[in-house]
Amino acid sequence: MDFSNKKLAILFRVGDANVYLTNTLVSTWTIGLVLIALAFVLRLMYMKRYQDAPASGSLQNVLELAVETMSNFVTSTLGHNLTGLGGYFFGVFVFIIISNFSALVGLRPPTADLSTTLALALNTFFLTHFLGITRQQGEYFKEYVNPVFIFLPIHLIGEISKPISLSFRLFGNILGGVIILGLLYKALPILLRFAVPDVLHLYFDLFAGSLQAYIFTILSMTYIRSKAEGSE
Amino acid sequence: MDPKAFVLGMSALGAGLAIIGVMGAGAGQGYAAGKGAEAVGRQPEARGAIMSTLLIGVAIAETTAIYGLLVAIILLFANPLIGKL
Amino acid sequence: MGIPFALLEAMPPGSILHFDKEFLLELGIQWINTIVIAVVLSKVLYKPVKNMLDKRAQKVAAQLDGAKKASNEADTLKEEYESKLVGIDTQKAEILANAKALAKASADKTLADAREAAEKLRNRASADIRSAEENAKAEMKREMIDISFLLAGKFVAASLDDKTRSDLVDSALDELGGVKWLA
Repeated sequence: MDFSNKKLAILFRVGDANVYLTNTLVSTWTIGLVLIALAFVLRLMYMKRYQDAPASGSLQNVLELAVETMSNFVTSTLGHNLTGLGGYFFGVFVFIIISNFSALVGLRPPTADLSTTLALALNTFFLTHFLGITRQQGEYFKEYVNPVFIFLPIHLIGEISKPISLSFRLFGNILGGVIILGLLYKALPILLRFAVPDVLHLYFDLFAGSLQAYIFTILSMTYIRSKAEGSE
Repeated sequence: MDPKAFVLGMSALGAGLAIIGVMGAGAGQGYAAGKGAEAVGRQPEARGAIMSTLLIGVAIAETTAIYGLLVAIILLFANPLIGKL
Repeated sequence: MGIPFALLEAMPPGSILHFDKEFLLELGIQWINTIVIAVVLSKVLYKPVKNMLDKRAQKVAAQLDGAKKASNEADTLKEEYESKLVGIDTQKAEILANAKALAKASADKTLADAREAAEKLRNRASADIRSAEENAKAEMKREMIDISFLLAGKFVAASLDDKTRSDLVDSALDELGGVKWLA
């Protein structure tokens, strides 16, 4: 049984290392293209037929609801000083949740690859410390030797463990779903493969997928807020 | 005996042992979720705040389980010990 | 750089997790991918919709403010009118009271004047009467004296006896009406 991220072709070589076209890359690009195309289409439709009071059930209403929910979520989690990050987290949330759902259409979820989740977690990591330094200045560095200097390594390990746990949480959950569903598909006789795994798809792809997307986003925001506003 | 087989077998065993650590996180998360349900039962109007606090707490408690999973996954799929032979 | 899309080459087996130079390259590629997707979604979809929503919220807030202001204005206007109405009522009552007081005063004055005039008239009449009485009394006295002189003359002329004379005087005095003018 092979649940691995298959290498389909060599894209280019850097030194002695190959960069392969993997399943992850294929699904990332597919999802990215679909999302970007959808964004442009929605934008054009929304802008062209913009109305003050959208009809209930219309596409504009759904879009507005999504954006407003995200905006309220960002405001309540990040505070009023960092609402500019709402767009980034909107994009990240949509990308993660669509990635997690993409297993339903037969793609390998990009989030089942550590490179994707670690890239997202590193974004959070750099945002956290960039905002911490720019917003808190001296206070930011003081927190590392709080309460005494000996605690510096503990604080450092705590900071480094954040992106690791953030990325591995998402990666482990989605990879677990992929492995368990792959095992189930292999174990079931062909006729039963149509109906029985649906329940597990429902749990691993839809439930765990949306929950992990939510958790990734809310944890990123919490980390960023705690550094940007100082821990009180 | 093939030393590679021994290392692989022991790695699989280690992965299984590492996953035991997830047990504590499961118990802790269950306890936290129960407390969260209690809180919602006591104060249904604060459901949103309780839910987000609960999810953050649960996600942080899950960190230890994630480390166990990390060790298991590394032992199974990216075994660093095989290369040492 | 090698041949792109070398599909015909046999590919090495895939992996689930690996930490090597290839992973770093994959990480870099995925980093660019995720940032591009997130930023495009943010700029193309989130920001414009958010701006629209904010603008609409501002518009609604402004409308609400305007409505509140208008209602406040109407309230103050209404209050003003009401207070004016109350003022008019009191003013009316005041004017009425003034008029009443004025009327009463003038009536009183007229009455008093009339009374005074009447009093004066009566006083004058009574004074007239008194003076007339006095005059009449004085006249009578003078006439009586004249008469008495006449009588005395007659007495003297008739040389009557003392009895007759005193009778005559008495009767004359009686005729005059018992006026004790000698007393």
